[in-house]
Amino acid sequence: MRLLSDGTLMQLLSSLGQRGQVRLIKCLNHTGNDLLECLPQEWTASLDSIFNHPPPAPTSHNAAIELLLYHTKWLPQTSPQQQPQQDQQHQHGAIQPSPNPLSLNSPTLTVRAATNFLMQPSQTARMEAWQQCAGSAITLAAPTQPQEDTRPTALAIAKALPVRVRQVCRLPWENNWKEIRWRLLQHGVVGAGGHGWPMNEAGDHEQSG
Amino acid sequence: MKRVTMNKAGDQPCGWQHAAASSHAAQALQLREHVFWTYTEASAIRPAIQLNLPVTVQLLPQHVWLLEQPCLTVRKEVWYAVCLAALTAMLIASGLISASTLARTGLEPTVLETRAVDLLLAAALKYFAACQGSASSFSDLDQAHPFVYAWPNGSLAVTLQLPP
Repeated sequence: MRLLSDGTLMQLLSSLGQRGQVRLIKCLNHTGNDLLECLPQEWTASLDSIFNHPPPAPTSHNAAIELLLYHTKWLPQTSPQQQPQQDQQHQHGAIQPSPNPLSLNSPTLTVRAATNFLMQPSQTARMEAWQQCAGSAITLAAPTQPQEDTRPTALAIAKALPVRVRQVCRLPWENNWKEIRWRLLQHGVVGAGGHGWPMNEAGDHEQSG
Repeated sequence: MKRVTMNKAGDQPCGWQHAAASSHAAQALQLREHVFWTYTEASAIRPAIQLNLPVTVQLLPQHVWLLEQPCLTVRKEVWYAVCLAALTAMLIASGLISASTLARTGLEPTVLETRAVDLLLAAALKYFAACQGSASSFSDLDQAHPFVYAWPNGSLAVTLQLPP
């Protein structure tokens, strides 16, 4: 049963704006609601690519930065046809800035998503280091037992660590007393060395922690 | 205090060496296990902690390294402080800590000079207690609580039992 006429529905959806439309379609997709069929086909077709065909993840840091800058409109989206016109403007000293260089009007980009995206390599390295630390601790606790697969237990321990790390950070004590835990857990991760561990004569950080 | 440095072979002040032909990453892991658990001076701290825990509890590396509460009789935040104090004591005892880092611990130079892990642990916990103030969240800890308890005025006192 259709509660709204096509015209009313179109008017309602138009008032939502692009972000609102995306949220609505996401919601309808999630619930499997028949209302999805009521949406204009051109809308669902154009938004289909957002949900079902996300752009491939960049493979390098530079590519990731470029993608983020593109979404934030920092990188001008110029076509080959526009280039001569822009060059002409440059020559006359009349450079027109893009209308809204800081626009975040992108349905696929949120601050949380961008931050998570940029932090992904660090988070992965940290979790691996924590798992390694947990694995070492388990092996040390029972060195005489036959070699078991400690990975599931280490993973479970590592997953519980973020909460404890946050609680330790909130402990009313000076930070230099808390740094040791960071060094202990991250030991072996390139770039986490130093922090009070003296370097050897060769200046090799990895060897001295 | 004299700053101790390792030589090119990665030898430790105690004479311990990395396994030959191991990668730098593996050497780092070996060093962690040595400094924070198997080193003679470091292992001396375990009886000091164990003595303050219920007899049924066995202290494991993951309790100290990964802050897992060994038993519910110790409050979580207190256990965190015990772990941080123990790890720092082990690091100081190993000699692998710079003079500037040592100076920032706030511990008495006379205690630091001893490099005795049990004394360092006790001194670190006293320093932790002193840092809490009278309005801390530990003010409800009674005298039966291991490691630290609260005076009626809210300030913390250390009840660490050390092995003879």
